[in-house]
Amino acid sequence: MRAGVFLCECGGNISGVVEMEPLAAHARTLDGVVEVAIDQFMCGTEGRAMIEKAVEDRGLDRLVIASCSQRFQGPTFDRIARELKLGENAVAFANIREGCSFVHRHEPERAQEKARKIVAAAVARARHQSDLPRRRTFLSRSALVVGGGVAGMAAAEELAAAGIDVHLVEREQSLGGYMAKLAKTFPTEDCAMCSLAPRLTSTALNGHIHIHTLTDVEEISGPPGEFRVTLRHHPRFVTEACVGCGECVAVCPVHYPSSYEEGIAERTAIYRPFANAVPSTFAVEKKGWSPCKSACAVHTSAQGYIALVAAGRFEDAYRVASGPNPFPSVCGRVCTALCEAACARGSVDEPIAIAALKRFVADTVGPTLPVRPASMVHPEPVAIVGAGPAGLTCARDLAHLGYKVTLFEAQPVAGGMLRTGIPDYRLPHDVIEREIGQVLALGPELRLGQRAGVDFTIDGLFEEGYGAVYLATGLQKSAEVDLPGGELEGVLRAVEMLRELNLGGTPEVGERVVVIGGGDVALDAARSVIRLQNAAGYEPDVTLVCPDARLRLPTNATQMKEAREEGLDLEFLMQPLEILGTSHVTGIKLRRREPNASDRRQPVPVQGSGLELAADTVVVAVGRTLVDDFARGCDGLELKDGQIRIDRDTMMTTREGVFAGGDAASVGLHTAIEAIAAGRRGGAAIHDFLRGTQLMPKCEQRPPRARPTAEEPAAVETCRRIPLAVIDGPGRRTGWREVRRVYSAQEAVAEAQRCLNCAVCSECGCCVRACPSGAIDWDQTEIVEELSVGAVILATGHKQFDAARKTPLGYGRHANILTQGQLSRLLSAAGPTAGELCRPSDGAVPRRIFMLQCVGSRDVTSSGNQHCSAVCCLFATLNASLIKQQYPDAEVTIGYTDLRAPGKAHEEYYRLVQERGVRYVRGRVGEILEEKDGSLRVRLEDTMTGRKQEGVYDLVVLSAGLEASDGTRDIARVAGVQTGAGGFIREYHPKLAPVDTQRAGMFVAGTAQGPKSIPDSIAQAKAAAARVVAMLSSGYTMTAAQVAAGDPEICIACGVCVDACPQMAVHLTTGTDAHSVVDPNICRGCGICAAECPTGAMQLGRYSDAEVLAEATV
Amino acid sequence: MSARFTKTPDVPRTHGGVLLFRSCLVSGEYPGVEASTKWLFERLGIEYTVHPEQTCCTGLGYYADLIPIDTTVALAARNACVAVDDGHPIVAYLCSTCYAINKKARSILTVDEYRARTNAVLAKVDRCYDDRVAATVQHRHVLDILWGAHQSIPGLVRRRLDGLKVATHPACHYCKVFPDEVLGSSEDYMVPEELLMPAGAIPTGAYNEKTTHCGAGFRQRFVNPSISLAVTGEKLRRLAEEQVDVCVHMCPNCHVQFDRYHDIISATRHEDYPFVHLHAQQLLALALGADPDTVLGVETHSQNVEPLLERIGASTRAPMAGAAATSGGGR
Repeated sequence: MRAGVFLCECGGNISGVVEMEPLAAHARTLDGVVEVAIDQFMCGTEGRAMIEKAVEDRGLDRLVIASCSQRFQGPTFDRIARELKLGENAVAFANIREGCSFVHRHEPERAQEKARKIVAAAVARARHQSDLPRRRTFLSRSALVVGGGVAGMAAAEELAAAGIDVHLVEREQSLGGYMAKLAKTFPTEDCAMCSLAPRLTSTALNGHIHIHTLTDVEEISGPPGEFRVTLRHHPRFVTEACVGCGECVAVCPVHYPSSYEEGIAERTAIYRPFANAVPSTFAVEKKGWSPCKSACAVHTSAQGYIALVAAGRFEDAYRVASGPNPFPSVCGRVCTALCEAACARGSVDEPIAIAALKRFVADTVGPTLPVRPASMVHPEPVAIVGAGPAGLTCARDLAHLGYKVTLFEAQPVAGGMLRTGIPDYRLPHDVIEREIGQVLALGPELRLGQRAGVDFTIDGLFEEGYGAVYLATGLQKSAEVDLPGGELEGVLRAVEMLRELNLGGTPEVGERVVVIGGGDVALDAARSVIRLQNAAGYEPDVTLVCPDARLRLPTNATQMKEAREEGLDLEFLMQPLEILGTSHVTGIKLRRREPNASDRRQPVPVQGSGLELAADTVVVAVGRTLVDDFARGCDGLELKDGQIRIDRDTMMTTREGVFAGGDAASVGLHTAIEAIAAGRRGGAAIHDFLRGTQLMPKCEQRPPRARPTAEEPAAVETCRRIPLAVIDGPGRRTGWREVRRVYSAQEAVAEAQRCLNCAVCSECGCCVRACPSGAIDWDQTEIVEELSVGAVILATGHKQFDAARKTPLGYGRHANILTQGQLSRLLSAAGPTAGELCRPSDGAVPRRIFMLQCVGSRDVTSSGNQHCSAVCCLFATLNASLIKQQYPDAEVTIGYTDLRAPGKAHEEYYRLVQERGVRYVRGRVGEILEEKDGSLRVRLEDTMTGRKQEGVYDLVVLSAGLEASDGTRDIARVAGVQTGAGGFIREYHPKLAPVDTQRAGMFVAGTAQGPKSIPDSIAQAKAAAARVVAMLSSGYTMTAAQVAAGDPEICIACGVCVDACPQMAVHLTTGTDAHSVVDPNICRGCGICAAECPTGAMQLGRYSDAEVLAEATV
Repeated sequence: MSARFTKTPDVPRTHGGVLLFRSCLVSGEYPGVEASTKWLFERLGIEYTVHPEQTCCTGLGYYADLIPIDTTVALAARNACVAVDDGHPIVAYLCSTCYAINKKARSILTVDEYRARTNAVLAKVDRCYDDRVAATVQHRHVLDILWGAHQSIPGLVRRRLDGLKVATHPACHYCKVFPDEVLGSSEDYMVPEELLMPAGAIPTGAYNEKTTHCGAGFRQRFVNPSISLAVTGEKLRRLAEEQVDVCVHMCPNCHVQFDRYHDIISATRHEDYPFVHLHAQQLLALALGADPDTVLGVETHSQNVEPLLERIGASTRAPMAGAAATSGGGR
């Protein structure tokens, strides 16, 4: 080594403390040093000449620069060494300024000694410094700008002006960001939108700018210059055919707090945030399927018809409720209502009374709407055997598709178990008959009293020319009674008893009746027997003996309550052992059971718990079975466990062309809505079969289930469901009148207004029908796109601090407390009140207004942020000034911590607003109390005078601070850039690199970096754009010398470095010689990987182990 | 627009190792609070002990300027030693004054000089507040422990509180002395209400003057009764505006101030405050089936809580059939 030591006096900064000549004398004694020189400014022209001469004259191969820190002048001396052909690592720095003369200014002797050591250490490390490679990377001449607010747009336009292609990505529906919400801007009080709109237009029209709204950045990988970016475009559900006429908004029933209007006004599910939005196309906010729709077997959009009921549009509601379901009136009465069990409102207080609302719209509108026959378009007739819910639904769907349908029904009435199995008091016959009539009005022919296998055969139907047959015969017979004494006189079967009753007969029952069974049929039978006993002149004496506890489930609670009110006795978990009697029933022998810990569906008997109940009639309701007459004359049909075997996907039986569904088929549950769902699947399957399309699985791909977050229910005020009136208990025993009444229109609207609109868009279809351009497209899905860009600018902005976190201030609890953002919307001519200031509780113009500063800012408690939000003082001043100009009589007081107005013309503006009569009081508020009239009591301590003040105001406005937006937090994670206090993106150096991030090629602008005003955001955006232009204009970039590199011979591929790297610059190769590889384009030379490496394989350029040890151990 | 209340985050369940720190005010004024707490610990399967060597925290004496800080810190150190040496290092406080003063002593005892001076005194009773004790002892309010077991509560409810509107009076010495260590929000403390919600109670959440103190102010209640009771009265008026049925407490000092003076303030201000005061553990134990007489000890209350008990079917005149009415007690 031939090293030269160059001692810099730094114009006295160093030589004023350290004596240079003795230091030089010492340096000359060091091993390897062949030249020592002193200069006043070694970084200046003379110093550079001195170095050049020494290299030439003395043949130096290392330069030891004893001066300031490497961070300041490192690049200067590296460049000198590079130009002198000494390589990339020929300079060793001895920092004798910041590390010595500055900090030991008053102890020169110690400083002298320390300087000697520092210089010696640098000479020692210089010996181990070897040349480092650098690589050239070519750059993609395009850029990604994340965030379409004012900063993002400014950066994009600047880049476009330089001829760089820009992808401008915005998460929201429109560009514009926070500035688009402002009424006016300070200090000039000019209209915010007037300044912004031209920028929106020019950005939209710029050929170099590609706008991606409703888009998230999912991944950014690769090196600077050639970043690979993955974008996820969320569906807009509206195509570019949209002309922006707004017809859809007029018909959308869903109203949701508008985030653009800061929650003080509502918007519809299909919306455009503001008139000048870019792009101007509307969008639908859809979070998936609501829980009610997901739970429904036919996926009725319950949220859709509930929203329409809430809007008083009952006819539209009926269209939605009856769309997938021909029996809305029936289901409004007898459905198991899994939608209510799934309803998110249940986590607040009680689920919405969905079934009752459905019944309301179906009963109110159903009878009034005429049904027009469907036109026949297909030649093949279809036969449906069984006119129950499955058969009738299948018939309706096939009729809609244009098929001629014939229904064959063995009973003298259509409707299946709905008509013959459910008593009048629960489902009146005229209701079901009306809905059957609506199905038949479409065109299907109904042939009653036609039993398959007896009056006709399936084979015969095909011979007659039917293209397909659908079997929906149901389970029409009670299961055999597997009990001793089952054959005794007085033992009735529930299915048959109810059928007799519903066909006009009067089954004979005794004075003491026991009903056995644990389901709906048993309960219907028991409640019917009470009425039959009443008609026969007996006092009600009916005991329902349930072998299990299913009826105790919450879904049965209302029915159980009604049954008890009518006088039914219930015994749960009772196992019938024997029906007693010789020829006629005299009683029943039972044994108690108890829940089984291992299988809750199988209770176990309790030994020694036998008991007997006296009875003269026993009604058995323990299951139903298939009447399989139809199988006669149907070759190739297979039965399975007493049901027709069908293919789960195609609904087809083992005989080609014969389909089955409902209770008779081997797939499905035994509820009305499941039967209707089976009918729908059957209709689709038959259509596929007849049209020759491949029989595809009928299990559709469900969209995600939209559920409110855990916090959302907590934000809803409790309001229990509107109770449904019922006929009083004893009174209803006397007849077959329907027990439950229907909601009045007023009750229905009130109940519907409890809906939480879980999925936002309810898919009611009103907009689709209203759109004159046919622009609404529900089939749009998410699209993933990959881009390659040279550089990235992060301009993802801020969000307003949630003032509700400062609970004592009452925001969200007290009606007349707003944030400055909300006030700005109220003061905006384009806002919800057209610029009229009114307080939320009563719409009155407030006369006394208090504004509170630093809400969530400059706050050391855990619910706030420590930083100053920079703009709030002037934002409040602006809004106060606007109020004073519009309402000169208004008294506006601003309670502030310190008034900060450091921007250009800001202080002057503050003084002007003071002169306009706005009062400023220095003091913070502990709590804001609401009085009965909605006014607000504010207590504060005036910290100028030390006096406590208390005032009552009409309106309080909170200056909620600025926080990093969710987009900023997300992009920081995706891009791998560091964030600092408040979640804002941290710049690479607060002074020297204020728009760089710690990832090369990525820059930050606007409030994503920290709170700032609009001009500051734009200035920073243009600075970031200039950095990108500078980077991309050369076409290539060189990697740094100070990057890490792994030695594959030593590396054990443990992966510690991969995990440690904050830049994601390290990866492991695969195979037998797996080792770590550092991408020098990405590495920023922090050295964390080298420090973590357990074997020493990973070394950082300029800071190898040898260099560091030599320096540290001299 | 914003949350009705902020939900309290879940915390790990405490299974055992709890020393139930007895409180002078609880034992002297509302012994049912201690009995209810023991009853709840047993019902929820939380192993605990009551230690005969535990002494008073001295809080009342300290705040009345009767006891010097050195004495308070020495006793806090000794009580921490008692808990740790007994294998019950999780000290659960019934009273927020005990809670805060012991926690404050813990921070004082991080200073070497204070610790050395304290240990010099403790040496006389063969105790030493060393690093082992400092690192092991935990100071928690009883409600912290109960919140850890809140997921078990829905399955244990035996008396519904449907329709009962409850509001929390947050204890200052729990919420304001160590605000960063409060479960959930120190400005909108919700644990008592959230514990009672599974039984059907309606939470009030934040309300006007929620964070205002009870007015007791230790000796202020006696030396400046007009100011003390004016504060209490203001709070009673705000609670009445919220139409609450029960104001739930977490500190016996607040409980005394409200329960003992409720009717007096009502009479002197000619205002009706139609609600009662119960300690959080009392109402929770009631919902879980505890006997109002033998467990809650409602006969020690100044207010008549019988109408409330009747409303939820827990009248002392007609004890609930089948309700386990154990009287608590140590392990």
